[in-house]
Amino acid sequence: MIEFDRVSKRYASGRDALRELSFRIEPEELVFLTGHSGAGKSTLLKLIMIMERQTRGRVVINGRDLQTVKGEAIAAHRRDIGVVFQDHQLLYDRTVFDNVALPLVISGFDRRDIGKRVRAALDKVGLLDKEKSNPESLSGGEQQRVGIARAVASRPKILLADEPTGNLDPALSADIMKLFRAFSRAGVTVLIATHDLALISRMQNRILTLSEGTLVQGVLTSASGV
Amino acid sequence: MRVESKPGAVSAAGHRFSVWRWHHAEARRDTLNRLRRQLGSAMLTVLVIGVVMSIPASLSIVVTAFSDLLERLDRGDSVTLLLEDDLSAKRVDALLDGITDLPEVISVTQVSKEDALRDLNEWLGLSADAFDGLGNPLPDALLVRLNMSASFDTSTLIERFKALPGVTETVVDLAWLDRLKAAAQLAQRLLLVFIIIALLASLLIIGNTVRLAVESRRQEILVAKLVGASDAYVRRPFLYTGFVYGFGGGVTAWALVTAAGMWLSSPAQQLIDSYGADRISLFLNPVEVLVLLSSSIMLGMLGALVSSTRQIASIEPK
Repeated sequence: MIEFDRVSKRYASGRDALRELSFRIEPEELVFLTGHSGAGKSTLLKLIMIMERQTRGRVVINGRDLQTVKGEAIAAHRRDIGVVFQDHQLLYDRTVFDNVALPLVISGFDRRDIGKRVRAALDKVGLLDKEKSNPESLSGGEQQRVGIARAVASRPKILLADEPTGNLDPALSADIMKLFRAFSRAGVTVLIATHDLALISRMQNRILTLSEGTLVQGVLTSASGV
Repeated sequence: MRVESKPGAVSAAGHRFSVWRWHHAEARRDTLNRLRRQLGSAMLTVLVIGVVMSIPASLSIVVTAFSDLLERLDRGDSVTLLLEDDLSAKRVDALLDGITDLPEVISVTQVSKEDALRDLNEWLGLSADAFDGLGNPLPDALLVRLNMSASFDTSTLIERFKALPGVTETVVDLAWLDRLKAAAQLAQRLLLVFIIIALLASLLIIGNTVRLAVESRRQEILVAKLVGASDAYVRRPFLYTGFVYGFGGGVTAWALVTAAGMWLSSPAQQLIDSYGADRISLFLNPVEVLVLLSSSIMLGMLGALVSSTRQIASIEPK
């Protein structure tokens, strides 16, 4: 569950990234976050990850006010969230398997369990045969899928994705979206920041549209006019 | 932390402990792999630390040997007995004979008050008649040379001299010993200065090496933090790196000091023998080796801890 209660974020430069933003995403919900670049999408995701702190208002994740999460608890908080990054954030000095296993190792999963989970996650994104490859040898789309596998391997309660289909062809994008939907049906809260309006229109999910740090549309069930 | 154990298999604390141990094992493996890949530069760092640490280690051997030698020389080789005024020549002779017969004594020389005054004038650079008319304030004295190789308690002997009839005071001639002791004290201070310099230098070397190592793994640390790694988790391999550098540096210093000791041992012993003293050791004893190794390991880990904590805290996902 993700809840924003009149959240504002002003950067040190004086720019207001978010203004009085309020919304709520329930478990099992899959929500899209759209808006022009600079509309505040990244800031919103960073607040959930505690990479930034809001200037005003409350961010509540799974019932916990993030203002109370400090120090080492921040790391523990991040272990409960799976994140797919726009720029993959993979490590090129180790194999695909080790990249996907990293959050599991950090979280302290059982060693035998890690192998199973990593392969299950790689299987879901169609990269099971690449587990021993170096991510550098993979295409941009494949690297993105490794990033997705890493985000879902620990089966987190919350899944965030920043442009997860940016480098994928439409067919693969649809597959990935199906995967995200399956996760939301399994009880995961999924929030996807994306520009891919064509894709959103087919998905029939709620859309949060940001413009200059405020919510333009809270609910949209079909792709009217897109 | 997610606990994924089977029901009843292990307790949560037991699970956490096994995870902790596993994380440590991974960090050790990772550290050794990385050091192996950069063996040349790692060896160079170890060598530099070893050389720096060997300076106070070798100095401490010299200071210890020197102090040890002084300890054994602390018996004093001569005692001056000041005699009562107007003691008859007969009684002085009796004293002289009595003392000469003692087994601890090599020789006794009589120094008359006139001789003493002349010596004083000479020492002060005055003419022989400078004190004429003032009278001679100096007493007659006996200069007793003691047998250094015999074992006896100096203070009891001096008490015995003091108790002799006709003796007013005893003066132990230990000026040269005092000078040596002052030199030894200076050497000990110097040792402290070198220890501090070596500790600081090792800290800085290890700190800087670890800082560069952290910087070269910036991306990895960033990603690890993004997926929920704690600072302690990220720091662990660097602490092991500091441990390896410290331990390697300590062993290198030990080897250097031992080599130097072997080289110097025989000429040093010849010099010592010529003074009639016992054997001295130019090697670290087991306790000193332990101190050297543990202090260099602690230095290594401390340098790594301070450096990596600062550096890792500055690497935050933005």
